[in-house]
Amino acid sequence: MQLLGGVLLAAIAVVAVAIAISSSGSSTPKATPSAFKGAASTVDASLSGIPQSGVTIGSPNAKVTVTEYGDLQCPICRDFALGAENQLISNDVKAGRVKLVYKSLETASGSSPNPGIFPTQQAAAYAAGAQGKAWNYILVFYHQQGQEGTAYVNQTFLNDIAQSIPGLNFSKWKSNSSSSTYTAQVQSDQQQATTRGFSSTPTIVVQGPKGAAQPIVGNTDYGTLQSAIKSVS
Amino acid sequence: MASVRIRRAMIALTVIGLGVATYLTVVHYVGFSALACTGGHGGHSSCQTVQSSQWSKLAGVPVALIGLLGYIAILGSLFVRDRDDTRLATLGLTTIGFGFSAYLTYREAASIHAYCEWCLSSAVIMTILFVCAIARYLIGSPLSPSPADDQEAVPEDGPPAGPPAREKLVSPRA
Repeated sequence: MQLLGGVLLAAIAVVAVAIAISSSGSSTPKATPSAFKGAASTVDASLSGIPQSGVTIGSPNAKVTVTEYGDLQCPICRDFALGAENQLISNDVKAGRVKLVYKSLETASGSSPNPGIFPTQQAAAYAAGAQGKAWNYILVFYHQQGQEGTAYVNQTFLNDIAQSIPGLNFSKWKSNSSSSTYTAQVQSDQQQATTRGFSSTPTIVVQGPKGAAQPIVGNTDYGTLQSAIKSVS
Repeated sequence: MASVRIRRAMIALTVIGLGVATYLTVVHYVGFSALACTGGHGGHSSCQTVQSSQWSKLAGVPVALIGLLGYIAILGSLFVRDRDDTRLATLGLTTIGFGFSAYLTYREAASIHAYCEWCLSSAVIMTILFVCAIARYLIGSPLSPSPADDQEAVPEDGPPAGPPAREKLVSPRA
């Protein structure tokens, strides 16, 4: 019986340690000014030298257009953005072969305690686009993304992102982000996505001289993106 | 005989759990778009939500992979010679698996607000394995009123025929 008690105690101890690690090691987001600055600096370096206009990043003359329908609170979008999309930007977009467009489609934000924040958060990124920084905003948001279904996105969170982006005029951004122009653009994107039958994020549309590839849904890999780009080039 | 039957049932359950954990581990590395799931959550499947949550990893290691290793360990403990100490090992391993599965299921309900059928199925399997391990230990122990069962259940020359058994530390989940 002593052995039984010892084994069970050891098992319970293992579970307790696992729970302690699980509970403490992954709080999100890292909502400190230095964390925002760090993410913004990383993003700024990765986007350096790439032209941006509105929600588009890449050369206007690029023959292939990759459009992402995303929700900034969607964790699958974050995985895609920091994975395959990051590679796409570093290689194809930077080389001028592809331009990347961001459009809004509400998914994960709808399950947050404050679903009404969706147009505001998306418009915040679009407003940064008025200064050629939309993709900086989008990627910093993904870097700092919190746990889905929680209320981490509020005006302070959105302001912190804007203030962390090098070269972004905060006052101008603040003024633009409260304009109905950008929330209307978000609504327009949503409408367009619905018309096209999209309901998941990220949905990635690849278009080129040879037409459009089958939309890719979910966190795809860079190889799949390349194949789609090749098929329409 | 009861001990033999319980062990066979546990082996079968562990093999199923191993399959679930293997699938989730592969999907984790291949990409969540390959995850077959019926539940919807926020524009993607509820499994994707769970699998991409902060609780899908323990110290950077996917819990699906930890579950996979756990099932292998349980299976191993079921295939070694049936003795008090090996039954106790199975009980210890399934206690860990049950405990962590229960915690992860709690996270699904209280923190993630989404459920992954694959994870839930593993949690159910782990719960049944835990109960079976308790029963097997009690039946086969020297304190048991019918030690003859134990003798019959465990041939001295080696393990019975059947799939290898192992054990799991935690269930696969997000």
